[in-house]
Order: sequence, then structure tokens, then C-alpha cells
Amino acid sequence: MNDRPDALRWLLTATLTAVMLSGAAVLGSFHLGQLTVAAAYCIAIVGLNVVVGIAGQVSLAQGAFFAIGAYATAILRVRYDLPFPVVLLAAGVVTSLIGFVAGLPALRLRGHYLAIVTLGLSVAVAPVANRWSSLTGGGAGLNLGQVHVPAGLGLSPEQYLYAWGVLLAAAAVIIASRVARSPLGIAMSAVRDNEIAAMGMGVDLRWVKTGAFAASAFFGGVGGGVFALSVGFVAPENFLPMLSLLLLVGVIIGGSGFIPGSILGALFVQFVPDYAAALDKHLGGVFFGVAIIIFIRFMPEGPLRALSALLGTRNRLFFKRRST
Amino acid sequence: MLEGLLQVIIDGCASGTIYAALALALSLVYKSSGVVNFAQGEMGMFCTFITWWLNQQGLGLLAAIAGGLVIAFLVGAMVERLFIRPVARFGEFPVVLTTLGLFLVFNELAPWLWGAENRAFPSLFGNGVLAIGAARLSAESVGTLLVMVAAGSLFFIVLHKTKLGLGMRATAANAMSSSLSGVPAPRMFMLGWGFATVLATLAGVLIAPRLFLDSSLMLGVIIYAFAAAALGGFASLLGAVVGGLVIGLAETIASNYVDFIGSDLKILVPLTILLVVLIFRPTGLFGKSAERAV
Repeated sequence: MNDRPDALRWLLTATLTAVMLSGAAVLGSFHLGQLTVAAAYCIAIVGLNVVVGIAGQVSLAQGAFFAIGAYATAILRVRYDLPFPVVLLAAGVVTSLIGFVAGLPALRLRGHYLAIVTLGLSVAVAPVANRWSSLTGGGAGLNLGQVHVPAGLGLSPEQYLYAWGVLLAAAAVIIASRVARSPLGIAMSAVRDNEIAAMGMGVDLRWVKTGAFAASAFFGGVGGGVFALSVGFVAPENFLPMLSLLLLVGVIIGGSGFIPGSILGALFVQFVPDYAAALDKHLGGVFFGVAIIIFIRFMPEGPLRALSALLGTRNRLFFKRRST
Repeated sequence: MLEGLLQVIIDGCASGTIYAALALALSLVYKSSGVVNFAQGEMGMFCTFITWWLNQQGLGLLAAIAGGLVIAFLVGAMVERLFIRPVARFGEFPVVLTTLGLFLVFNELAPWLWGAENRAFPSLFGNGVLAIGAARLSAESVGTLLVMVAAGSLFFIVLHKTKLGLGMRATAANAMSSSLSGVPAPRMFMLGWGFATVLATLAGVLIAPRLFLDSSLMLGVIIYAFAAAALGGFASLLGAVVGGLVIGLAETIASNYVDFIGSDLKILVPLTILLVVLIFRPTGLFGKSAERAV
């Protein structure tokens, strides 16, 4: 193991974050709003990447966690008018508790069975939000209103939210990348690669699996919170099961198990359908589907890995050398 | 009350057979390619549109359905050959993602070709009502039930009494050694996808008169089919059928007799059953637990 690329990695992260932040000065509020939503997706995709890419547990529940985080944020804002960093943290914690419970079936189920049970959670969210109208506002949804920008910053609400979105997304990428390299992350990878061998090495499957779900739900919840604040409105139709599938697409486009790839995945999921739909509403969807198929056909590990393999920098820039 | 119950049971079985057909399609693909095809419902929806279009072109309904089913077979086989086989070597996950891509493609291709408005799809059985005692059964439900039972029987006969079926079962059990014994395994995979799409289209054609035909035809249904397939234990075809019937009955009974559930929460019924069953039997009712090597 060598630690030299760390400095390079930090430099890259800091530069990228600074470039993204400076976008706030240049871009109009519409594009800032779109990018803030992309940041929200990025945070959620990072979480999904932890559970799917690193711990190897197929989850189609991330859209549900996103929804729960968004609703938690909306409810805390509307009812209690708490400052929103507190709200986001609370949304993350609430969602991760639910994620912990949702991870319990993973102790017994694997593969397709787990995928379908977690898909069930995504399917259940919209009808439950519709029905439980005393809490969620039902089909009419909840209006969050605008965020208050602290005086003295001189930022518009869009710029302020965008800055938070970028910083939180950067934090999510950094934290999850660190976790992936920590003993816990290594235990997760061991579970992904061979459960029984991992168990034999003393990995406690119960904690690793439910922990991975709880962590992914935390990120999903925070991402949902950023989404709710940026859009200013939550309603059941924002959180259809398709959202979970889109987030999974984001993981794959970025490269499953490669946390920084989540940024690319989020941009893909946010912008490709939009631009495609600008051509033709339905043909756009066809293009998006074809794009997914082509990416997987020709770059199954994600374009970033394909690119870095091409440049021969695979082990130096993005990836720790794998000890064999 | 009792007559009402009979009616609910027949309706439940009719829905159940539709879920069973789709679940059977999912298991068939699972057995041949080892993946869950998320696009299965959409492929059925797309071919139902083709059936509708053939009917619009002046073909009789039965002829249109026959044509639609033939095209469905070709669509399924082509999808396997063109999209699935090239990524199969990358492992299970890329294949599943490819089916998600296909889901989007078919889901948007239909409204692009035929428009987004929903359309009335002619029923094979008309609006008649059969009165048995005080129970009033819709011809739609009874007809669906009969067609599905016939299709299911035909399917099982092909699978268990013909050489083709033997080849398909052999490939599903062990692709490598069946190839070594001269079974053309890749062709069997294509056939599996083809037959699966025929079943999905049959389900689409039977359910379209009830739901109207648009690109969201299968979105609600496919969830039940996933639940049915998982309940039965993916690799078991019999399990898929039993799973479909259980889910159909549970859904219909719960939404008719439990006020709290009604129509908007009824989707939670199959999901709850699924969760409970899988907690006690993680490989479904009919699935075999595989031994895992270290």
C-alpha cells in the first residue's frame, strides 16, 4: 500500500469543489437549481454506491430513502421552522434508522429476493404518502417556501442552496471514500466478495449489512432533504419507483464501487434525460434507455474506469493499488 | 355474502392468472439467463400495442392477437440475441442494468410510435355476466381464467413432453453440460426469452380491456408479478403460478373486505405477504436453497 496519491487526491477534490462552487457566480438560477438537484442525487448515489458497490447488497430502496429524507425535511421545515442544516442532519438520522430496519431482510435474503423486497419499499412510498395526508399533505404535497439566507453573505437563495449542495456532495464523496478504505469498508468488500469467507475471518455480517443499509439511507435521506429544499415542494409523484432505478443507473454510470464516480452518475441522471427530452418527449426517454444500454455494453465498469484504464493511470490517480 | 365471496374469488383468480403468466415469464428468463428481466412487463405492453395496431389495421381480434404473439416471440428472441447475450459475460449486474435500459426504451417507444393517450382495447369476451345462483361472474374474469389455464397447460406440456422442452430444461439446469451433450444452449436461451415475451403479451392482451392501453399498462402489474415470482422462488415455474394466484387472491380479498386497505393501499398487500414469506423461507415457497461454497 502506498499513500502518495493521497495528496494528489486531496488536490483534485479541492480543485473540483472550488470550480463547482465558483459556478454559483456565473450560472443563472435555473441552472443552479438543476445542479443543486444533481448534487442531491449525487449524495444519494454515493450512499447507494456504498451498499451496492462496496457491500454488494442489491438495493432498490434508495428512492424510498430519498423520499423519506425529503418528507422529513419538509415536515421539519413547515412545522417547526428549524434552521436547515439541523433539518438535513435530522432527516439523515431519521432515514438511517429506517434504513437500518430495511436492512434487516438483507440478513436472510440475497440477490434478486433482496432486490425485490427493497423495490417493494420504493413502491410503497408514494401510496403511503398519499394516504397519510395528516403528516405528508397527501396528494397535494407540502410547500417548503424559500430558505432564509443568512444576512451578510449577499447570496441569492439559489446560490446559497447550491453552495450547500456542492459542499455536502463533496463531503459525502470524501466520507464515503474514506469509509470504503477503512476496516469497516474492507469488511464490507469482503462480504461482497464472499460472505462465508468473510464470516470465517470474523466479520460480523449482521452489523456490516445493516450498517451498510443504514449508511446508505443516511446519504439518501440527506440527498432527499437537499432535493426538497431546492425544489421547494414535495409530493408523492416525485418519488415513484423509477427514482430508485435512476439512482442505480447513476451508480453504474459512475462505476459500481468507485465512489467519486457518483458525481458523473448524478450529472448523467439529472441532465441526459432533460436534454434528450428537449428533442422529443418520448424519443428522449428512448435515447436515455439506449444510452444506458450502450454504456453497459461498452464500458461495463463505468466510463471513468474505462478512461483511466486507457490512460494507464488506473492505479495511480483514482485507485489504490490492489494488493494481490 | 357467500355469493359475493365466490365472485371475489373468481375475480381474484383471474387477476392471479395474469400475475402468474408474467411471473412465469420472469421465471423462464431467470432459468435461461439467470437474471430478473425488469423489462418483461414493458415488452409485453409493447407487443400488446402491436396487437392493438394490427387490430386497427383491420385484422380480426383473434388474428391480431395471434399475430401479436408471433411478433412477441420474435421481439423476445431478438432482445436476448442483440442486447442480453453481449453483456452476459460481464456478470449478472450489467445484465440487470441492461434490462432497466430496455424498460425505458420500450416504455417510451410505445407512446412515441402510437401516441400517449390511452386507448380502449377490445375484449375477447365481451361485457357479459354469468349468473351462477346469486353470484354474478363477469365473462371477462371467467374467460381470462380459462385462457390462462389453457395457455399454462400448453406451456407445461411443451416443457415436459417435447424434445424442445427437454432441451430448455436441460439448459436451465446446467448450460455447460447440456451444450456438451449437443443441446444448442444459446438457442435455448433465445427460445426462453421468446416464450417469456409471448406469455407477457398474452397477459397484456387479457388485462388491457380492463385497464385501457397506454404505456403504463404493466407498471402496476409487474410489481405483483415480481412479488409472485419471488414468492414462488424464481427458479420454480410451478412456484410462479402458485405465487401469482396467492397474490391475486390476497389482493382482491383484502381490497374488498378490509376497509382500511381499499384501492390505494392494496399494492402493499402482496408486498407484505412477500416479506413475511421470505423472512421464513428466504428462497421462496418452492425455491431450493443452494449450497454455497467458500
